[in-house]
Amino acid sequence: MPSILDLTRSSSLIFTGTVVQRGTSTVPTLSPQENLVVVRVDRGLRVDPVLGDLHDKMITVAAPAPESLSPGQRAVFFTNSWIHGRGIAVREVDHLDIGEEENVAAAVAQLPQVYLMERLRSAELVVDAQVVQISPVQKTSGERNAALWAAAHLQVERVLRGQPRESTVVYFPTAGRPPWTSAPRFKEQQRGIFILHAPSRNATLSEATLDAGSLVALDPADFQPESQLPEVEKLLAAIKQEGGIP
Amino acid sequence: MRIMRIVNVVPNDHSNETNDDTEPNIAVNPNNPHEMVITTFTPPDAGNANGPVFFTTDGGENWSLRFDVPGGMPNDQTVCFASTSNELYMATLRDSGNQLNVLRGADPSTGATFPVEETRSTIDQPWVQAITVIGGPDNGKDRIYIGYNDDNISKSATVDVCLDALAASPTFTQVRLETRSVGSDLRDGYAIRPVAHRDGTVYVGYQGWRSGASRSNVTMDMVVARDDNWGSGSSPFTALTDPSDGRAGRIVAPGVVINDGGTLGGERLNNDFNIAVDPFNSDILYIVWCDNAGPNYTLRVRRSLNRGVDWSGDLITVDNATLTCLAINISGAVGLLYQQLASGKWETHFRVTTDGTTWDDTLLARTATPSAGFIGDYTRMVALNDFYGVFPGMNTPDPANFFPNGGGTFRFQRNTQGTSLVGNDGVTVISPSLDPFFFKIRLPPYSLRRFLRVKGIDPSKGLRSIRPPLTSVRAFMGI
Repeated sequence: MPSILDLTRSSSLIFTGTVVQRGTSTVPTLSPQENLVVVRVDRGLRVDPVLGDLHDKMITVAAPAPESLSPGQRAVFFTNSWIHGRGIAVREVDHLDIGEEENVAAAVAQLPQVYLMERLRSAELVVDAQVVQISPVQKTSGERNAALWAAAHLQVERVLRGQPRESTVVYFPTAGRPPWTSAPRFKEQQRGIFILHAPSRNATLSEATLDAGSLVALDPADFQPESQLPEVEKLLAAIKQEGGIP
Repeated sequence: MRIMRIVNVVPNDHSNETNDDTEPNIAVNPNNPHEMVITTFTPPDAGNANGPVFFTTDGGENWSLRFDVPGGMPNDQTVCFASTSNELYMATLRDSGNQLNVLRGADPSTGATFPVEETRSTIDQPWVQAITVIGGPDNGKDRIYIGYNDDNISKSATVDVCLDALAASPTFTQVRLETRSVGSDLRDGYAIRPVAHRDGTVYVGYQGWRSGASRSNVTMDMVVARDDNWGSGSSPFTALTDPSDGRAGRIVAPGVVINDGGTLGGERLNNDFNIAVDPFNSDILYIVWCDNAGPNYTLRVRRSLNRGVDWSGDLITVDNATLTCLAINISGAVGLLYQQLASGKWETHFRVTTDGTTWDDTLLARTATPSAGFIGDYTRMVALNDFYGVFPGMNTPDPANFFPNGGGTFRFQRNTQGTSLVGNDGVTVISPSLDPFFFKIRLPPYSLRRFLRVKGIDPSKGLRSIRPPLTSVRAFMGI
């Protein structure tokens, strides 16, 4: 049985709801089928902002075990989006007793922290630093979607993870299209926590062109404002305790 | 009378969204043109392992999102339905890296995530073309052709050929197209565009990069390769040679210069290359590209009437145009789609000709340039009897932005109030962003006889010869 946290991480749409009817559909493009269950949303726990407030909306759930859901039953539904448009249909990952509602809400609230911890765990270097200079990188790969790297030269205030140093360089993409769309872009004088990783050698040619030992920031979580310093320190301490930091 | 319609495909449930949905592509099911799919750089909701496609089952009036593309955040992707099998094929890169996945779609009601039929690594801009064989020993087989730029090698123009995509374990043959030298530190051009005809002729257009430098001026040849038997022989795509060197691949235009580092309204140049074949006569082939031969970035259309052997001069030129593509309908009308930067706005034009000389001009939209600049490396238009296409545009719902010169109607699915977007709550004003806009254009008169021939049906035997029997001629023709 997966943990609540595991279920939360693997589900994009999580809500509490009341089963209304089995074997039917609220989505015009989805014909009624035995495995479909219509559920009225009582409370959205993890809902993409593009969908707005789902309270009282009917959602069609494709359930692996529809017989375990009876009309009137309340439950916490872990699902992934399947169809949006003239109604919402989702694929159920699992459901739990409604008594778990607050535990699930707490797990959802923890997701950003859990993700940040993953980024910290896989980082080569974590520093509290300030960008003192941005310089373009001439060397580039010929691929259409090259990262068009820039180098941010950091003056390090404190090394939070990794070898001590007074300065370092982080490469970040200036290209605006996939796969670089969501990467952080740095500016001179910017100050905060930089969570730096070794480039992947097989994901893109752009990363492969960087010299050995280079560090990159590609995930939105790889830069944190300085106000997050206590949280980052707490998470790094937890990682150290579990043996994740040598 | 011409009938023209534009629909913003973002569904009402997503009225809060502000993503820039760039680089759209479209597939229309020739067997049921009410069924269509559009892809763009539209993200899945956080935590969802599958990325979305837009789909409609009512001819484009209502669109939904279906989260069935393995791999989450999208990168380059193109889609195409085969002619009669109802199968959707998709070539996609995902945001995690440049791995090509070739997918086969299933009916949305099945709930199945698109299965992956082929993978290749470090690929750029895959472009899928699908067709069903009608008649002969391979009757009913789906052929698919995926043109792509293989970033692993310099002679990178490549097409993957699959002669039976419906097989349990389809086989893909990788065909290298480039037969000439590629310049130092260069690869071939980004766009490799296959187009297949029901008689077994398959053309692939590509740009052979000869000199220059990436992100600067590149000098290239516009090349068309041809195969006369589905790309199935031991030397595929060598049927067309150039008289200058006897090598496979006819050079339509040598020494074309494009500024690979240039931009137009924030959109990067060197995206624009497309070909189309007449569905009624595989001898007739049109090509379009944009270049920097003059002071402006200029679109050019040329034509061959003898299977790519001889080529016309420019049939039409348009300055400051991008995101161009071609399609030829069953009546032989040639449609040309492009976006032109005019007075700081993107004007989306649909041009059409029946003789290659006179080009009718319909202004579909005049929309603001997005602050991010980039609108995509390509778009797509498909022609059956009608023309179907998709273009990226800023989504301010001002009636003055759509069919500014009149002649058509438009619809937003997402919530609007006056000339503003409003969110799911019907109140909160939502900032404008780039959305995909579907359009459909019908050019009368319809030619049922020509349409039946294109579908491989003998009109002299009458409609009763069609299997399965027609329930609606109008649905069959997509009208």
